[in-house]
Amino acid sequence: MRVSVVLVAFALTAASCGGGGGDGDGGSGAAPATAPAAEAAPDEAAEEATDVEAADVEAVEFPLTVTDAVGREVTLDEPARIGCYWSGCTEIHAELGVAPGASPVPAGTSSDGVFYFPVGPPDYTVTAFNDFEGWSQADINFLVNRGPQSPDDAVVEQFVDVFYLHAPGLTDTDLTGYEAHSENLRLVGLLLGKPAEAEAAVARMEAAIAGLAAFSTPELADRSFAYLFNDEGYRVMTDDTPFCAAIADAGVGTCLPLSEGELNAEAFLDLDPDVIAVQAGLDGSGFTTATRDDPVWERLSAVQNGTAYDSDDRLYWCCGSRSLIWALQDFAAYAIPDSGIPAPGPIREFDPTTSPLLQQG
Amino acid sequence: MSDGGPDGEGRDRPTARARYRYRSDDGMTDVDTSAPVSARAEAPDRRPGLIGLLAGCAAIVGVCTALQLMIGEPTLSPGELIAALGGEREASFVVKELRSPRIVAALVVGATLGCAGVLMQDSLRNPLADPSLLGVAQGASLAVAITTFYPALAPPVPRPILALVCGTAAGLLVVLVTGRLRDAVRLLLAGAVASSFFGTLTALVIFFAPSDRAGSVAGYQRFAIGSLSTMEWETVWRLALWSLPAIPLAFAAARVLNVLKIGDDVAANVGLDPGRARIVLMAIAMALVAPGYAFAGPIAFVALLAPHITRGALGSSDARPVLVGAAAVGATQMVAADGLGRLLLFPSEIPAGVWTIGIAGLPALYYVGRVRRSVSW
Repeated sequence: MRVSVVLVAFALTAASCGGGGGDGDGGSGAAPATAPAAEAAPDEAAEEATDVEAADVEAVEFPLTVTDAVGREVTLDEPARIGCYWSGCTEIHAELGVAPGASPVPAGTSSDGVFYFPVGPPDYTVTAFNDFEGWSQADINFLVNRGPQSPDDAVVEQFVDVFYLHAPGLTDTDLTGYEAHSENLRLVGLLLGKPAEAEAAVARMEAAIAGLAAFSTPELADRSFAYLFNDEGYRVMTDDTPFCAAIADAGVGTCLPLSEGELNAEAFLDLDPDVIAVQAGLDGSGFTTATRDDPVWERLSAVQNGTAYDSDDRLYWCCGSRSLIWALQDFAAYAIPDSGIPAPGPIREFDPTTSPLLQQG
Repeated sequence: MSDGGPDGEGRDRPTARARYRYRSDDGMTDVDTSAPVSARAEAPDRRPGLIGLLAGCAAIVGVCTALQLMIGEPTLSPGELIAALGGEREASFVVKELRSPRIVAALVVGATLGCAGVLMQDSLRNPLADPSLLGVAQGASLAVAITTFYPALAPPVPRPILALVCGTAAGLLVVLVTGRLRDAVRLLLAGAVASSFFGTLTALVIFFAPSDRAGSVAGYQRFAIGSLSTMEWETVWRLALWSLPAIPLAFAAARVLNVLKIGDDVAANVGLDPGRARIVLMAIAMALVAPGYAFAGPIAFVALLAPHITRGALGSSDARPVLVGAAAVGATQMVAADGLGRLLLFPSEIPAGVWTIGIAGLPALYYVGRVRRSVSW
C-alpha cells in the first residue's frame, strides 16, 4: 500500500535538497523554506530534515518500481505520462508544476479536472470521465485514480491500466487525515520523477496547517464544525477527511463525529455546531445560507452567531493538498474572521504558494 | 369462477355478485351466484372486513405516531410528550414543528397513493397498474434532476413547485396522448412508454451531469427514493391543499370504477364512454399523486400494494370500500415506513421509500400471492 522505504527516503532527500522550494525546474515550487510539520513534533521534523540532507535527489533513477494504494507495483523506465482520472491527480500535477498527460474536461465542468493553475491544461483531453476510447488513445502510461470505490472503477481497468492513490473519506486506506495527501504527492512525485517538488508541496501543506495553528486559542479549539452538503436535508461531511484532521491538529476546531448520510434534523439541532459551512457550489446551488429556511436552520447557534457561511463546491473534502490549503484559508476567512485572512477566491485561480496562511507560521 | 365469492357473513358484496352476472352476459358460462355462498358457508371467512381493516390501520398508525412523537433527540416520556405538545420549550418545538409534520405528511401521501392505486388498477383492469404509469413521478424526477445537476438552467422557483409543475405536465401529456386510446392495454403501454421516456431523459441528465456536481448525487437520490425527512408545516399544508380535494373525486368515481372493471362492453351498455371515463379517472389519479411526488418524491409500492392488501382484507373488489380501505392502508404504510426511516438508525435518516419496498413490500407481496385465489380482481 505504500511506497517502499527506500523510495520514501529518496523523497525526503529531495525535500531537504530543495529547501522546500522545489528544484527550479518550473512549476509551483516556491514553497517556504520551513515546514512546521503539524503532524510531527518540531524536533522530529528537524531531525528528519537533517537526516536526509546528505542524500542526493538526483539519485532517483529509472527504472523505478512504485507500489500504489491497493498494493499493485508499477515499474517505469522513465518518468510517467499520467492520465488524471481523479481531480486529486490534477491537483497534485498542479502542485508539482507539471501538466497531466491527459485529463477529462467534460462540457460544462466548472471544477473537476480543470484545477490546472498555474501549469495549464494537458495536451490531450477526453470529453468525459467515461470516454474509455478516448483514454485508450491518449499517450499515457496509465490513469491515476483514487482508490477503487465502485464497480465503475473495475470497468475503467478493462480499457487502461490504473494506478490508485489514497483517499480517506472516500475509500478504505490505512492512512488518515492529510497523511494521504502527503503520500499521494510523494507517489506521483516519484512517478513523474519530481520528488523534490513533491516534498516541497508536502512542506507547503504542513506550513499552511501550521499557519492556521497560529490563530489557535482554547476557545477556538473547542468549537465544533459541520460541513453541509448541497441538500435540503442535513447531510454532513464525515470527520475522517484531511480537512477535519488539519483543523483539529491546528487547534481551531473539531469536526462533528458523524457518519455518512443524512442526519435527522432534530439530532443536528441537538449537536448544534458552532461553525457551519454550506456547500454552495461554484455555479449556483439551491441550498445556501441565504436560501435555507427550514425550521431548524434559524435555531442553530452558528446561524444566529454569524458563523454559518457558504463555501465553494467539494473543496473541503476533495481532493489534494492544494484544495486543502484552499479550504483551510476559506475556513480561516469565514470561521475566524479576526484572523484577517482573506477568502481564497476561485479554486481555478488559486495558487497555494501565495496563500497568506504560509506567512503565519 | 369460484374466485372471490361473497363471504356469507352479511357483508356488502354487491359487486362480486354483479360481476358473475355480467360475466355470464358476456357469453361465459352461466354461473349461479348463490353457489359460492353455499360453498363458502362451511369455511368461515376470517378476513377482517372494512371496519376491522380500518381499526387495524388506526391501531398501527396510533402506535407509530406515539413512537414517532416520543423517540428522538430528546426522547420523551408520555407525560413529557403531553407537556411538550402544550408547552413552549425546546422539546415542544421538536415535537410540534419537526416530528408532527412528518406524520401528517405520511398520512396524506399514503392515503392519496392508495386511492390513486385503486383508480389506476380498476380503471385499466390491470392489477399491476400504478401511478408511475402516468409519468408524473418521472416528470417530477426529471425536474429535480435538472435543478440538482444544472442549477443554472432551472427557473428561480422552489424545487417542489417545479417538480409539481413538471410532474403534472408529464401526467397531462400522457393523458392527452392516450386520450384517443380506448383500449386499456394500449393505454397502459402508452403510459409505460411515456414514463420510460421521461425516465431516460432523467438518466441522461444524470449521466452527463458535470462531475463537480457529483456531491449532489446523494441529494437527488434522496428525492428519487422518496423521503419525508424535510417535511415542515408549510409543505404539509400545500401538500394537503393540492392533493386532498382529489380524494372525494376518487370516491365519487367509485361507481364508474365498478362498471369499468366488468368490461368496456358492459360499460357502454349502461351509457358510459370507457375511453373518456379512463381519461377522467387518470386525471384524478394524477391530481392525487402529483403533489406527493413533488414534495416527498416518487414513493414506490404504496399505490401498487395498498389496493391489493385492501381487497385481500375485504374479500371484495367493490371500489367503494376498497377506496376507503386503500387510503387507510396506504397511510398506514407511509407512517410505518417513515417511522422506520427516522428511528431505526437514528440519528441517520433512511428514506421512507426504502422501507415501503423493503419492509411493507415483501410481506405484502407474499400476502397478495397467498390470497390471489380468493380475491377476485
